[in-house]
Amino acid sequence: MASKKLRKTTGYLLEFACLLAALLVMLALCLILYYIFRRGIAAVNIPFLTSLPTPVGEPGGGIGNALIGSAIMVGLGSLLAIPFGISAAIYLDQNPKSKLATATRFANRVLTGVPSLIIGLFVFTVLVLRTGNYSALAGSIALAVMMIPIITLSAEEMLRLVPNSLREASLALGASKKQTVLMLILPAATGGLVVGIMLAVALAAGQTAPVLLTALTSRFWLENLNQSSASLPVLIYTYASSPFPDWQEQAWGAALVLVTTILILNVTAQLFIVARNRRL
Amino acid sequence: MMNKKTTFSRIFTVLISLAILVSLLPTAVFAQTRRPISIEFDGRGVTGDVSPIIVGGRTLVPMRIIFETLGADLNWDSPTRTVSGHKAGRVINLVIGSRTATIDGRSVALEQPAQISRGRTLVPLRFVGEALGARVEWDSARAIVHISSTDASRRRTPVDRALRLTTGGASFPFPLYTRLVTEYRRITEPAVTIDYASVGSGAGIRGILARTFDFAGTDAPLTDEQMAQVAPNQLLHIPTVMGAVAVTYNVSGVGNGLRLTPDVLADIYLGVIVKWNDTRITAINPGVQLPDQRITVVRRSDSSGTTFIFTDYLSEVSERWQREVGKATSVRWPGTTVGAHGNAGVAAQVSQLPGAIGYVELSTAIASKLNMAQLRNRAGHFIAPTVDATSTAAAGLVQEMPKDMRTSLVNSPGAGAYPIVGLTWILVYRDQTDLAKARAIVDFLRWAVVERNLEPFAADLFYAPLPEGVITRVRQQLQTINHNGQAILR
Repeated sequence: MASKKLRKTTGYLLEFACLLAALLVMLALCLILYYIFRRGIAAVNIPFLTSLPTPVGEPGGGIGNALIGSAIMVGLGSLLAIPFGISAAIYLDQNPKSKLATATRFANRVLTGVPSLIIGLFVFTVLVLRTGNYSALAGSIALAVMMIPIITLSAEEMLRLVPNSLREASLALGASKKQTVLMLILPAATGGLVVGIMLAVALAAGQTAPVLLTALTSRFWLENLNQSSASLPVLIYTYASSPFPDWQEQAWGAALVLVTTILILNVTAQLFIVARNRRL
Repeated sequence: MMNKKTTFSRIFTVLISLAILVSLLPTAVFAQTRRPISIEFDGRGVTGDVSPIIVGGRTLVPMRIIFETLGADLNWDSPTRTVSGHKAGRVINLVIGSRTATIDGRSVALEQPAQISRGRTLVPLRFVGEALGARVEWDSARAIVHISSTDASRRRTPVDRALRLTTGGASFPFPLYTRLVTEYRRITEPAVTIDYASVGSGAGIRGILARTFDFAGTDAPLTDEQMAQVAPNQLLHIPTVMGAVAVTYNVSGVGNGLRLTPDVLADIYLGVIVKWNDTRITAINPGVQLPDQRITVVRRSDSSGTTFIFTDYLSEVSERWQREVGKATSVRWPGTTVGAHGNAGVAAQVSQLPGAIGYVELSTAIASKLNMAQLRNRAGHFIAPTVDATSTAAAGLVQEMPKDMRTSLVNSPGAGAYPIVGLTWILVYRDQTDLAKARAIVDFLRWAVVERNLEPFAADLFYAPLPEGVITRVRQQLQTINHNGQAILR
């Protein structure tokens, strides 16, 4: 009898501990969001989002070019990374035990562990030093290199979750392998794939080192992809370590914009998945 | 059943899309109707207590702002409700609510009359600006009115097509360079855009050596080993401004102006003097109550030109420092120290840690409202860091300046000289490979340094301008810059 009571108490205690841990994690997130919001909201308004930075001592000034630079580099990086990542994941899912699959999986795991600075240095050496030119394009490529392993690994996990019975049923009905992959496995796994992609996008949007090493920075509008470009993380880094209070305030504002954008992207993607799953 | 579910999900999707649309709507509406208008005069923002407004496609601004900005005398005659401005013999009159204005007695039709709004008199910007000899441009995308005091005569045409230069390096002059590149872009036609990244002197030097930068900023001159990586006399050191490094501290009960001697400062950083009430500090500060508090030594954790200037000074005044630590953009610090990133990082540490001492560039120390020490200079006077004391330090050393201008300004002999002073340089190749870029670089440096256009900006940010003798040397250096043997500057 006593042992049953003890078991139950231990059970409750452990449950409580887990709940506490979960709440603590939530609390940390909320505190960060709250703090960024409180410090940053004063700086954010429409001109802040649409105008160029001003030099020290001039009032006003915004993050328009950094916003566009980040959007273009993360967007282009995603366009490069998503097809590579998803295709690789399909290969891994279809040939899970081949030697190439094992090697690919291993390489991707190693790549996710490589500090972003090293990836930046790699693209700097291969592209920037060769061409002698910092560019938004090089920034996109650096971000794509960072995103590919994250998308590949998460996509493989998601594809693997599609039950074997479904695949067998599809093949039994006479569907080709191509039809099975494109019309059954990919649609069934879309929700998970989007989550993986969003994770990669969020990570890429917040990178400072790889972007600074490849796209450098700018205080003017981006006119073509072959130019150095401003980006939100680099702007935050530069402004936050400056001695000027108005720049520091703008750094908080830019941080708020960055975090909010990623949050909105994530929430929209989740809502999209919910709506889509209901339709299925 | 299935049908019902599909209908529901369709409604749901539509609702979500609507919600997203609606959330975007107010911003778009807001942007169209109530976009604040800002005014820039010669590239600098002008602010007033009332914002400009747009009426019938014309911008109206508070009269006081526009007249004062353009340097005109202003008269307000309340019985006739007439605004009159006088500048250089020209008189303009505007009557509130009247569509007719006069310039030197001649009538001019106005599209929008002057008016009174919220107790402020608003006048049509373009009419007043152009009547007073300024050039008024409207940037509708950014809602900015640009007013330039003198127009065509200040325009420069260094190149025949728009050009972008990629540069970077020292963070110390970065605030100044942000102003210079913005102003230079504004006055060049076609525009020359210069991107300067604040990545530190070390990265700047690597960038110019790898030729990824068109020019680079550095606070530390190239070492002989670095100079050996390029052909002799190939990399020019063009000084732009000078700056002081302030020694700041946070000691309870001690205000601004604590006195320090070179040996005391060196021994604090060497870890020999560890308490604020050490007899060697109290002896030079009679009347100051120094507490029995440990000294926390703060230094830069990143590679930094400020560290170079500071350690250059300590090496100059302390043999032991020179032997054991030396001078560099980052050094192996003796004793127990606290590292901080950037000038702002050191300033933040010093203001947060009781008993802390740290070195930051002057503008940071002033912006962070830190206490600054007076240092005993070579002439034996205790001198506080100021722009004047920085200029004085340079004046004493112009004669000794080597031909390549790789020189140190620390521990200057002048009576009023502040001892921890450094130059900041722009590194540029003498033999240029791209003619258009070469023209843009040379014209920018001539405009900024030789024609002294950086000086008003520099003064605002506590940098000291170069003495006359050095500027002459800069002009000579610029004359050696060439493309295929053809000098760029004639």
